[in-house]
Amino acid sequence: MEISLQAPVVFYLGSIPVTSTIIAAWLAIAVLIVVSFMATHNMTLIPGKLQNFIEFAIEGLLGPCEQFAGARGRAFLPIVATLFFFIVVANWMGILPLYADYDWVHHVDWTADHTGPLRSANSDLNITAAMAMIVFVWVHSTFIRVNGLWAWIKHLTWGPPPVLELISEIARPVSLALRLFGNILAGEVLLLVMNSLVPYGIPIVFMAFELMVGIIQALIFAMLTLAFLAMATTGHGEEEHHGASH
Amino acid sequence: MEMTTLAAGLAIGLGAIGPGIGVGLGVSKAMEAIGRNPEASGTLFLPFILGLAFAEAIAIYALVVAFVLIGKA
Repeated sequence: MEISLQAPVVFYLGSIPVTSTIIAAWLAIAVLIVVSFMATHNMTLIPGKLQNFIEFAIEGLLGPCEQFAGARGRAFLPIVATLFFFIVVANWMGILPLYADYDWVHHVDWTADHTGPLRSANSDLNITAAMAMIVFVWVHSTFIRVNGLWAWIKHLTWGPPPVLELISEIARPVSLALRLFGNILAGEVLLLVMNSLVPYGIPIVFMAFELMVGIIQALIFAMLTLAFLAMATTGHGEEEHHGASH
Repeated sequence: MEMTTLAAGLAIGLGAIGPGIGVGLGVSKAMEAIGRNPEASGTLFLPFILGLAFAEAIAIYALVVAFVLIGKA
């Protein structure tokens, strides 16, 4: 079994290569747009089933936002909830039968009937790294907006060895991206191996496990984003937040 | 080639020891806390999951290294 971390290119758009993970990501976005349109196009005071469910999910995320960031929490909800919903939908869609583009095993016979045209969006480091970079820029621009440029420079050069905080700030997006990518890729490989060992019945258990991993990883990504944002907006230096970085 | 495969196995095998201990300690303390104060389970959940994510990330790095090594083999 040979594993390539790079997603296969499906076609070229001009000179831009379009990989199977990009298509999977846009499919997840399309599902999100359709569902949120259906949930909000005629909202009622007494919510219907779909609207009720979406309200439940949003309120479930608003709780931790206000718990971590207090009065500012509501302002953080858009980015946190967007990341959470995109990641969870992309992860769960990755379990569907169509998402089985195991290009790394094409030359192995037993996977011939498991292959499909797509691959789970977050099993591509490019996508998770892009999200981590968005979070990185967002957190630091929020820091500068709230505390000012001088406080930001002071924050980055804080501590006995001045580079310590800088390294920790750079390590954050790296670990954020690698954590999600590694978990989802490991899940894909796990399902593949289980499918090859016991093709019937048993993989269902692991698919259920992957559903759980999918939502927990989405929750972790969103909550870490929230924690970074909360740290960036509370006054720095004297509190406990230096211990809880990366 | 065999050495690279061995390296990949060792990378994830050794890399999982530390996070395993860390996750075990975290879960044991969380269970203890819930046992003493069951009402706190709701407030414990998010910090608990976040703490586990930090421990687990180390194992994930090892896993990515193992994948890269296997890809080279």
